[in-house]
Amino acid sequence: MTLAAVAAAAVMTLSACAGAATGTSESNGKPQAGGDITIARSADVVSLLPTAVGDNPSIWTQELLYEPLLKPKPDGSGVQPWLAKSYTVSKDLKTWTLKLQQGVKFSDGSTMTSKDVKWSLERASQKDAQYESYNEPISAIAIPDDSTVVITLKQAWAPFAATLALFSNAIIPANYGGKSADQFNKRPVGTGPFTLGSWVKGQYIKLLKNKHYWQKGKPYLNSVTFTTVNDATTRLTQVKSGEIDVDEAPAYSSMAAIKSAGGDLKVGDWKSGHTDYLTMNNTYGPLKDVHVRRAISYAIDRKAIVSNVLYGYGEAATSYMPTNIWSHIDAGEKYDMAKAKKELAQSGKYAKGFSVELLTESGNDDHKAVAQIIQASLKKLNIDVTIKTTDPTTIEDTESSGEFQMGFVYRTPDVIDPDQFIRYSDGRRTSHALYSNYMNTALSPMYENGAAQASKADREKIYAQIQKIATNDAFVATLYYSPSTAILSSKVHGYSTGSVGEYSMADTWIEH
Amino acid sequence: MSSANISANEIPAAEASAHARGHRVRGNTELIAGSILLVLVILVLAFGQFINHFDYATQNLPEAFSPMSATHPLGTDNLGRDIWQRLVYGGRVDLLIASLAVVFPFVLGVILGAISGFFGGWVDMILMRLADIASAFPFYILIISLVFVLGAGAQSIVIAITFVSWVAYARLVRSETLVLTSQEFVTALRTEGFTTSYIITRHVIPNVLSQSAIYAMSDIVMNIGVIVTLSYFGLGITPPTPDWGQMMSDGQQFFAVGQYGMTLAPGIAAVIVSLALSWFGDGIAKLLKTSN
Amino acid sequence: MFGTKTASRASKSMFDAWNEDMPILQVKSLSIDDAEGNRIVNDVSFDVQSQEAHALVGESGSGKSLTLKAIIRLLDGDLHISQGSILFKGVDVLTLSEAQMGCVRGKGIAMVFQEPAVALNPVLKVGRQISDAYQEHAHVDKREAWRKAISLLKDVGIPEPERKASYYPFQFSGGMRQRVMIAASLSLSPALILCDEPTTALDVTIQAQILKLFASMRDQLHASMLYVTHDLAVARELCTSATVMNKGSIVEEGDIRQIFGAPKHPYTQRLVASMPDIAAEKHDIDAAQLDYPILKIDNIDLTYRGLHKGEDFQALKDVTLRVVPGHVTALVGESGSGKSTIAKAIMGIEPITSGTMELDRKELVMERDLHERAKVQMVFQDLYSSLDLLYTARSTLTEVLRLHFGTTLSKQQIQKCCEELMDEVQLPRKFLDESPRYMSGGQRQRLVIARALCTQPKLLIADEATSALDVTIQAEIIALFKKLAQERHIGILFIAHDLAVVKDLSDWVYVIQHGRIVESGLTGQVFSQPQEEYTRQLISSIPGIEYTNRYPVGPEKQHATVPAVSVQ
Repeated sequence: MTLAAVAAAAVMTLSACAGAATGTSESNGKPQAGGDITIARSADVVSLLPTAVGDNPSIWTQELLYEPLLKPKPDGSGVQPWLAKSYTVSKDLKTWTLKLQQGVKFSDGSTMTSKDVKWSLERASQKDAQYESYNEPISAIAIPDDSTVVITLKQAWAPFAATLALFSNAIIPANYGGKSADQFNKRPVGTGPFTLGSWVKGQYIKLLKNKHYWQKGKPYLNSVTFTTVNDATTRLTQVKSGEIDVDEAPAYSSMAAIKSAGGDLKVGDWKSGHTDYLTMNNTYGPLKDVHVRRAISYAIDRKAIVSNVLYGYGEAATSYMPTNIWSHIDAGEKYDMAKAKKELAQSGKYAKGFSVELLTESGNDDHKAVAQIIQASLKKLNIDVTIKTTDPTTIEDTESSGEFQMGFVYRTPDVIDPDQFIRYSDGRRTSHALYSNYMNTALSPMYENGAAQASKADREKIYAQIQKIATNDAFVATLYYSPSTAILSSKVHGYSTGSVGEYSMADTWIEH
Repeated sequence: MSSANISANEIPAAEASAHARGHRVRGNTELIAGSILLVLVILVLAFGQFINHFDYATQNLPEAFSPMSATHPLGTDNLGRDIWQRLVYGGRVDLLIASLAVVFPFVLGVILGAISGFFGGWVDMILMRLADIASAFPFYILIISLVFVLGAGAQSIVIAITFVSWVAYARLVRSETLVLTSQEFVTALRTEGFTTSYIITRHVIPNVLSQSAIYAMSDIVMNIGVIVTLSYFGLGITPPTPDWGQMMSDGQQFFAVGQYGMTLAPGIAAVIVSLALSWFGDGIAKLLKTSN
Repeated sequence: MFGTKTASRASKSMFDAWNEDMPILQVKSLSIDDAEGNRIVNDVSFDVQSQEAHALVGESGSGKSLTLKAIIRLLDGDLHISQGSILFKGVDVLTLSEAQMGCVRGKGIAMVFQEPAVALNPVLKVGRQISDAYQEHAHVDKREAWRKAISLLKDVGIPEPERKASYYPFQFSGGMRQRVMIAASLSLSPALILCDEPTTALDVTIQAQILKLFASMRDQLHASMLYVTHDLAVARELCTSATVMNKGSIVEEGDIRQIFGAPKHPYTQRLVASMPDIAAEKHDIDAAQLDYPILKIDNIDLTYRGLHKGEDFQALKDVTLRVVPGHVTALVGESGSGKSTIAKAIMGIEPITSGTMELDRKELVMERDLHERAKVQMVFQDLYSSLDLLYTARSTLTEVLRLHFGTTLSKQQIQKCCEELMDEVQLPRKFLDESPRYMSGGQRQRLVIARALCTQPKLLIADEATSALDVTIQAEIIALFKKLAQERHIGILFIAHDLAVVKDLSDWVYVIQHGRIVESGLTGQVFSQPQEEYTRQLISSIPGIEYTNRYPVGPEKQHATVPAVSVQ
């Protein structure tokens, strides 16, 4: 593989838009039972208690140990029955009746009943649970028999199905099976395809096949080990040498090279709803002016960023809603230098240009590249951007305290419903509209309204309105949507990630 | 009177001195090689930008990673910027900061060291305890912490390095001063009625400078390393201003796809400059040694 | 008193061909080159007869010390012997292997170095240093060797040798250390003893004792000696024949009385003429002059405060002193006598604890302004540190002139002053733009004197100003001091330990011991009729003093002045 060939390959993939892959898992031939798989990730699991986490590694790992009543459909269009084999909703969207699967056992051998369901949901609704706000609409949970659960809501709430599919609402044994929370964290029990084997903090966590798994024949794998390797280059080296089977989150530049190289490795990308924003502090100086914000948004060449920094693994954003969950429309965000200049000219005292600071994460090469591209673009409007770096663990704290002017922020969806993301323009929420402090009171009733509609079409109409208004106000500039990526050994089959990041690990198998 | 050494009192007549001085430079390979290399480096950094018409910040995204060619002598980086221009500009930035970051510790250290050695007593004790405190901290940790607190950028780097490295100069100068003040001409100056500040500035400091000057050369080399390290951690120069450390760390991830230019160019340049400065410093040391 | 010679078996076999009628040492055409090929010692040949004390005389740079080191094969690494042979008892030591040479050293040839502090190992007891070599070569056990060490220490005159054998070198004074070194060299009863200026670092009286010790070694031990020295008088005292070297070559050799009485070579003549003239005529200082001294010191005490009570050291006790303008007044004492302390007191470097000092009829205090400072200046001893090498002669002089006369003199006048000063100290004007780095010792000393004269002082203090100089240069500087005292009509206080110089140079002398003035008076009188025992002791320790009145006067000696000075 000559330098020239690789360079050529890299250049070619810049223009191609390779990010349109759907979440199909390839299956060459029949799945083999047995085998072990090692996956390298950049961060370790924080906790195995569903109520205690908000970070992706913990969430995605827990999803292999515990399961919810309903599960997201892989294509992102809605939910499918899971531990609940069926459900009905009252016309007023207030009463939800679910029938449980029969004969589902926990990994310790005990049978799952409606008692466990009630306890788990109530536990997840307590004030100290990280995602308890999603369960806020719940008024009461009744369990008429072992396999029936009736949930009554305070108001009409269409997204409730998606809420039941949340990882935090996974079903675990009532009362932690008699143990304390700490003990449960060390020896968790769930209905998922895997159980905890061993966990060395900071190094690796090993999950073993759940012999009692209620889906017969699955999972294929005997074990899944997640190792923690912070450095992307190290992960790449490891997957190249065969030391690991999957490199989760490789650098985009290496994706293109591996793809053209072929051989023992292959690349995979799946739509993920991961959205990157340039957030602007709407209360700061020039950024108070909507013309300035619009100008900045128009001045960013999103397509160029996707091809140069993401090597084509992404889509230029057109709205602050991602494309992998229904309700996304083209709300008008795009690259148009002429429009940018026109907008800035209307801003009065800022028309001649001004200086502004852009906050990025230190050590984040993508941030650095994107920041410099934006810096060069805005220079054409006489806007002088100073790039500041800060520690990745504190960047969101800095942004949330309002001590910034412009900064990068990203979000990934946790629920398979547009309700989560649409509220990112709602200034009343804790993150104050992606830290922008944007507040448009006209929008306030629209969010509740959208959640209260029974028909999907009605909801879409409302959400489209919200996107148009928020985008017109340019409260942030959405940059791009990027897929979830991986470099994997060609021996691995059936590996994929879904719309809210969940692994298809039960269907994954490895040639051995 | 000690005549154990052959050259004690056997001092050449004044006529021979000029010849002797010239001879010392001629045989001094490090000085010659170092000076030549240093002059070359300075010329390149001063005028290298005129080779082509690009500047260090202009991006050309479609032309990213283009190979070495007539238009781009070292190719382009990941954002399509000309690597040669960034190398030249970055070199200027780095060397300037590295040199500035030597000047302040030098001046501060020499003055404090001379005062410390000349006066002795509690002045000496206090200054040396200060020096001990400053040098008790691990060098890089202190620098990184200071820059973190002061914010990234050239100014903070210079301040941080000054705060930490004045100690070496002070100690060097102090010990030389101690030796010097035992010389009889210092007693003579005192009895002739010269003021202490005159003695220190006109006689002590000029005599103790040579060692520090040599050390300063190697200090510049070390400072380049410090700036490179700081930039690697994002604490140094802010983009789009290029700097060799950042160029190297930016280019690191592209090794996997066979793109080495971004990292190799500044890496090799840093080695060349360090070599030039080291040789030059060694050469000066040799020169001063033979003349004494 | 000394043991008999015992030659070991090894040397016996090598030297069988030799007998005592043959010269014990024959140096033939020896040449030594340095690393760059420059010839340092050129074609040197001389013999040392058996049981003879032979002097190797020369000034610095003559190559005498190197010749000595070559004999015992201890030359520095970058010097090598390019030609010649050195026959010890008929065997060319240059052809011996290192192992064989090791046998010769200590047993055949022993060396006494100049700086015993350097040559002795500071961390070993002296008894051990002596006994180690003895034990090694004589094949005896430790106890026997220790006993030998004690007996040797007794032989060299160290009191309480049993106790002192367990002392470390730092516990001895300079003279005692040199005796230890001599004892070490004698431990194997060597046939030939090489001495490299062993008394140069010692006080006069101590030097006299060591010379007596050497004399007894020569007489009773029947050892042959090759004695390197720059001091002709010492050579005269100890040796019967001499070889004179200058700039690496031999200029003259022969019987020592002949060299003294009728030197043939011009260099030897100059050397002999340069020796301090102990028989010089002295000027009188009458009572009238004594009433108007430029410096008047009355009953001063100077005590150095120690860290703790009881550690106070009284350096000066009740010292009274006068310096009269137009004459050189000498202050003579050995090390530790306090003579340098007086200089510090006068210069205001150290405060006195009681008594008064007056300069030019004004009281001398610690706080002085420029005008007062200008009146008394000092000429130092250490040629290497008395000038800032970064300054040219012109800048050195100008800086002082500008400090004191910057407001009253113009730039041109100051430059003119510089030139005049150079002329006065007899330095060529072209040296003004040279750094002292490139000047010889004598030239530097002249520059130091010129600098001291910048402020037009009324009193000049010279603290051992000639001790570091070669004999010929010393003679010139002595003449310069005499001239300055007379022509400028200033007072010169000359502090020294070398009595010969003092006799030559001064008209009035003070003798100081342990911080007290022991005796004082006109130089001529004090020397011919010393009143105090200590003074007598000092005078008798001048090497060659007994020959004073019997010096044959050579052609140059008939003049009262020193021959024309040639700058070197």
